[in-house]
Amino acid sequence: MKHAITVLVFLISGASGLAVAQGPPPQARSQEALEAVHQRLLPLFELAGVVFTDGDETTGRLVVGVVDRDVEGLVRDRLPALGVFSQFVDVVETEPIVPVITLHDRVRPVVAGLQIHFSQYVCSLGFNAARNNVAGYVTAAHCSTKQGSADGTQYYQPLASEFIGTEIADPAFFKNKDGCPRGRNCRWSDSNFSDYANGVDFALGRIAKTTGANNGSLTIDGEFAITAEGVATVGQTVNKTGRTTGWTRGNVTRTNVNTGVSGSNIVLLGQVFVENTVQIVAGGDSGSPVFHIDGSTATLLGNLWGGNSSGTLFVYSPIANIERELGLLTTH
Amino acid sequence: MKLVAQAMRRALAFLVATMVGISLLAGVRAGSQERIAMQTYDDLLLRVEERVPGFGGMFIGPDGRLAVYLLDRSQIAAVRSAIESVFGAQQVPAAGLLALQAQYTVSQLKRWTERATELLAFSGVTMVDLDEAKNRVAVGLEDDSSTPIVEQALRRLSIPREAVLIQVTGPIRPLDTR
Repeated sequence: MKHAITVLVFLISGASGLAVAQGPPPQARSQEALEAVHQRLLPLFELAGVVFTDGDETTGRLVVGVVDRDVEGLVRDRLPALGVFSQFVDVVETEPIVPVITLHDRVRPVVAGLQIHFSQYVCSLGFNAARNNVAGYVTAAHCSTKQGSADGTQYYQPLASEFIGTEIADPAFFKNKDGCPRGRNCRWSDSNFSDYANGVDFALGRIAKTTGANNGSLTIDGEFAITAEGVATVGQTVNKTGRTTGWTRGNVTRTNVNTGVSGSNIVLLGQVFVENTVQIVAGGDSGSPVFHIDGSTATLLGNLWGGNSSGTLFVYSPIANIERELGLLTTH
Repeated sequence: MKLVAQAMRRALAFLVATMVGISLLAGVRAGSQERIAMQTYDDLLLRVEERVPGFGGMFIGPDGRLAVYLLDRSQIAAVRSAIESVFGAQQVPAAGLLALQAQYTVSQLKRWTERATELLAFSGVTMVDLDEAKNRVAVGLEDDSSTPIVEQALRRLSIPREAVLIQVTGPIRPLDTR
């Protein structure tokens, strides 16, 4: 096999006048010669549809990747001008190679599920919406300077150099009514609303989709389109997209749960619990959109705000509760 | 104006959705202020019980069927009709219904759940829920050290102990990066 490689490369090298009589051992010399010829293929990228070129040291041949067979003729027509024999080049079909963009990157238009930054912390953008004719977005209220107060928290996506909006609604806690336990501060949702800064490009009704559910990937691979709002039933499978654990899913185990937030005197009324046997949530996922999917369309259910220590349970505020507090929202 | 009109259309669609049980909002606009009366999911379950006394809750089981708690399991056909009426026909999956023997009705569980919400005043209590998948009231704790005080409170609140599941959930915390 080594002999065959040497011969092939010698042929290519000889054809291009790059054969070297002295210097490194034959194997290394052959690889160097192959690479030298390979570099001659760079002008092929001027052709639309060329994905990659390679000097394949395992076969001693040159390889050109193209998006479809129609490009092969163009490639082979070009080879003589580059001083490369066509018979030493394999043209193979391959998928286009696109830049990898994650939930932590700058993404425009802004969609639900991306990382947002406030103060010194990060959370996830819940969903875009119009409220009282103002274009903005919903995220978790505790992802602001002061929960329960419209304090003008400034948000960035993904980090501090990219300002996107300002908190304008974050209803106050209430006490001693609607079943709020004595001594506790209550709300129906952990949600706030921020208006988009001028010029920020965003897409209403879109949720970032990563490469798969519960696979740990943060790489964006498409979108879900919100087509409705709804509520979940115990036993139903629901999804979320968040900046820390990506797209995950679990089963609804409780609805309309009055929930005490550990380490605080806050009680959130009428929340929904979602569980799985694997980790589906972690710090930074607060704000995430929660939704039911049917193919690539989504029914928006609410926004995530909490979970247990092991990350196998998350809690979200249902959309009905969010709209009870923030007012009617146009979400798609 | 276009956005306002769109918002109104969405609002209307959303309210229609509530009628089929997808959501529970009934909104009334008063001037520029929106005043929204909300029915909870448990309220809708109550509406099913009004049509079929003895209804004790429902959930989607592992086999894809809608499992329904009934004091009298022979009421399965009647409860299907009631669920479709309150929640919409789409609430009943193609796999059909499964009747489970209920111990309590939704109205009993809801009454006890509302009383038990007072338990959230205690440190270490994480949640109170009308558990429609277990036909019980569920009380969650950060750890079991709070169990005695919760059981004492249940007696004071006249909530039958056997109707309550006390479960350790661990702490429920916000998930920012603080």
